[in-house]
Amino acid sequence: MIKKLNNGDLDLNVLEIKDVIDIKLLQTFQDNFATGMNIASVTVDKDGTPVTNPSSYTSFCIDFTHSTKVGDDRCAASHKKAGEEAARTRRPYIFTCHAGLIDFAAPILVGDHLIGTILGGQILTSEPEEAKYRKTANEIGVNEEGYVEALKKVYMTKEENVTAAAEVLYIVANALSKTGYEQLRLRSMSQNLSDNFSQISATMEELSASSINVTNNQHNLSDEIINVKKISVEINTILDSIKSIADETKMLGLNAAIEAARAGEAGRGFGVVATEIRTLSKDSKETAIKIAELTNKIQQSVDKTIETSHATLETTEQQSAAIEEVTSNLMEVTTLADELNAMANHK
Amino acid sequence: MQILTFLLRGEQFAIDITLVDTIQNKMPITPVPKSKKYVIGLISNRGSVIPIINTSLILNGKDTTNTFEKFIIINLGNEKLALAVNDIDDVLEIEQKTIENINNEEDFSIVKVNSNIITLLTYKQLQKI
Repeated sequence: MIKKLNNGDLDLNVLEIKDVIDIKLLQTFQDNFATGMNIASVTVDKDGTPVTNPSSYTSFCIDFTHSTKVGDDRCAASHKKAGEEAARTRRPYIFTCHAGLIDFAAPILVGDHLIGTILGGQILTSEPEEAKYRKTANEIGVNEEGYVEALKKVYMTKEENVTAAAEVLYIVANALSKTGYEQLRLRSMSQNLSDNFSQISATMEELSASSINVTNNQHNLSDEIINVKKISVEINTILDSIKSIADETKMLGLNAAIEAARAGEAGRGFGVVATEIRTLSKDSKETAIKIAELTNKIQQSVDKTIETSHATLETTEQQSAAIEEVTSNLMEVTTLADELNAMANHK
Repeated sequence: MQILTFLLRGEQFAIDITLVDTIQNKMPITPVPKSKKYVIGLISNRGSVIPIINTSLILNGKDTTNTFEKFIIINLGNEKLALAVNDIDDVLEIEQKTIENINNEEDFSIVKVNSNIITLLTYKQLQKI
């Protein structure tokens, strides 16, 4: 089963032989190899279940030894032990089976993980002692004569041939599993790459949109600030007219004082009013001057703000441009990643 | 007594308020050819024609022709004169005894107001115009 871990890697614990090796290809290879070398073989997964059909099985094994439950169980036990040994050493293991034939077990690995075993052999490397086989025939409950006849048909070869055959199967199967696994990883990684780039691309698009927003807001802000400046200039104009009103009031107050003086004692009360008018005009003028000072300060602040706002605007515009550039580059990279992914997955 | 203070080229002067008819902002002046040096021109005020005096020439010898902003219209017997000044300052109450005559001819008088010495334009001096 192909299962991705949270970090994006493949889970080796659940990886099966059929995930990494094209079983049909393996079967063809195994069949041809078995026929060519006169050596039987079968491939099992990590649980011992065959994933290929047996190639060139001998009559001795298939028609006799495996034909009874006792024989079959002994074979299974023998295979299991050999498989374990092969898995432990991570090397082909040559052994003599319970029935006396030479067998081998070659582990198929992905990294350090066993995903299957090639079992094979069913040959002899020396003349068999008939008595021993007759005994086995009785133990497993098969016809003694037939068993010995079948034994005579078992192919005899040199031990180094068996070792070499096991080695070839081991090398080829593991090369297939390695290639298969690398391809799986490549697929998985290119899928991850493609997914990540799509995500980055989407995020960048959002960023691009929001940076345009920032720029627009900054524009609005600048406009508003310029409005404030215009208003403060208007205030100054109004202040000028207040000042001139204050001047006129002063003249009025002074003329009132002159009239009051001319009226002598009778004008004394009016004189007081005249003084009040002058004080009022003086206060108005001072107030107007203070307001003018404040509006000048406002204008200075606004000028500084406008300057800063222009700088900010420039920066945000540069950022927007940079983001746009990155986004367009990213789109190219995303397309590349998609193509790569398509290639890796043979889409 | 009350005095009206005014400014000429930044210097403060004063005049007895009882001599003053009215004060007003400057207005268009009609020049008078071949007139006396200190007469700038004529203005029309409340139906009468009044000569404008270059006050600066009389008081501190400086010409303020281009800088005066206000007129002080004074009563001189049955006549009226307008004194051209830079600005009208204030109306002040002073003690008669604080006035000091500079010389016996009473051409100039001075008055101390808040430790400032102000030249007071007198009736006699105005009569000479």
